Amino acid sequence: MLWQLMERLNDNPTAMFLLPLAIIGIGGAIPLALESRRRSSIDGALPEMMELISAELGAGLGLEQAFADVAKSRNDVAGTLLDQALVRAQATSFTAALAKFALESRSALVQRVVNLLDAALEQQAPLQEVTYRMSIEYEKLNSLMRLKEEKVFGQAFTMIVLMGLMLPCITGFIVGIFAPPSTGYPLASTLEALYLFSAAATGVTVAISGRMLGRTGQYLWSAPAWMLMSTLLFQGVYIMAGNMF
Amino acid sequence: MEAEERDLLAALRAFDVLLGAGVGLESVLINIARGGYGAISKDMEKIMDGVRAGRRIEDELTKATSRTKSTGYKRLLTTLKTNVTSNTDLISDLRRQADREEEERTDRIMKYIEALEGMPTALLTVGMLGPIVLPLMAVAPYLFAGASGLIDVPGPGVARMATFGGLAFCVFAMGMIGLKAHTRDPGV
Repeated sequence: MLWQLMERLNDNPTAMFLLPLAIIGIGGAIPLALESRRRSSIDGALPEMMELISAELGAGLGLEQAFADVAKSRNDVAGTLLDQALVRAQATSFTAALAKFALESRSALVQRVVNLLDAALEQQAPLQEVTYRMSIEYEKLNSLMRLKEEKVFGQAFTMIVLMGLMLPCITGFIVGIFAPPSTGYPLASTLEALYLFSAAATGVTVAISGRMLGRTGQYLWSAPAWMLMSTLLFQGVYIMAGNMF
Repeated sequence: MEAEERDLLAALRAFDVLLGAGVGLESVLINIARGGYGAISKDMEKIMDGVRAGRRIEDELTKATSRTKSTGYKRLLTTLKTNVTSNTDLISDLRRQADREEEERTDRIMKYIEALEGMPTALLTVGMLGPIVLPLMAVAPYLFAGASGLIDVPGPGVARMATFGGLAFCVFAMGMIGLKAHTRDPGV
C-alpha cells in the first residue's frame, strides 16, 4: 500500500518538489504565527494599560509606580514584559527600562507610545492627559484593526478553501471522468501541467490571502504545504474518478 | 496611496499629544524626525537639517509642502507653517485634521473590504475555467482524430502548447486579480 502510494507520488513531480519545501515551510510559519499572536496580544493590551496608568497618575502616583502597578495587575505577555523591564530599571534608569520594554515588545505601537512618553517626560509634561489621550487613540486603532481582520479573514479563508481544496477536487474529478488513464490518451504531460497548475493557483491564493491580512511572510512560509495538499488532492481525486467510471 | 499617508494619522496624534502636553513645535518636529513615522520622519529630518543649517523653519516647511504629493501631509505642513507665521490655535487645528484623517482612514478600510468582496468569485472563475476548458483542448486532437477531413484539428503538440500557455495565463490572471489586495491596502 505504502509502496503503491510512493509510486503514485512518483508520477507527480510537483508534489515531489513541494514535499521537502512544505516541511521546511511549516517550520518557518509556526514561529511567525506565534510572533503575530504575541504582538497582537501586546497591541490589544496597550489601550487598557494606558488608561490604567492615566488613572494611577490621576490618583497622585508617580509614573514608575503606575507602570509597576500595571505590570503587577496583568498576567499577559505585555504585563510580563513590563515587569521584567521594571526589574531591570532597578539597575539602570526608568527611561532605559521603557526603551528595553519597547524593543522587546517588537511592536510598532508600543515603540511609538514609549517614544511619546519619553518626549513628554523630557519636557516634564502632564502625563495623565497624555496617557489618557493615547489610550483612546489606540483603542480606536485596535477596534479598526479588529474590524478589518474579522471582515478580511472570512474572505481570505474562503479563497484558500475554494482554491486549495475545492478546485483540485472538482477539476480532478472532471478530468478523471472525461480523460481517465483507461482511455489511453497520451496525457502525461498535460496531467503534470495540471498538477503544477493546482499547486501554483493555490500558492497565488495563499499569497493574496496573506497580503489581505497583512501577514504575507507567515502565509508565504505555509504556501508550500497548501500547494502540496492541493496537488495531491487533484491527483487523488483524478485517480479515484478515473477508476470509478 | 502616498507613503506619507500611511503614518499621517499617527504623526498627527503625536503632534496633538506632545503639543497638548506643552512641548514646543520644534521639539515635536525633532521627536517625529527621530523615527517611527516612516516617510514623515524622513521628511521631518530634512526639515530639521535645514533649520540646523540656519534656514528659517517656515521656508523649510514651504519646501517640504512642494516636495510631497500627499494632500493630507500637505495640509499638515501648511497648518504648521501658518502657526509659525500667524500664531494660530495649532492644537485644535491639528485635532480637527486628525479627526478628518481618522474618518478618511475608516472609509478607506471599508472601501478596501468592499473591493475584496468579489475577489474569491473572480479567482474561482479563472481558476476553474482554465483547468476545465484547457484539458479539453489537449484531448481535442485525439477526440476529433476521425474528423480531421471535416474540421481543422490542431496537432497534439500545438494543443499541448496552447493548454500549457492557457494554464500559465490563468495563474498570471489570478495574480493580477489579487494585486488589488496590495495596491488598495489602506495601510493600517
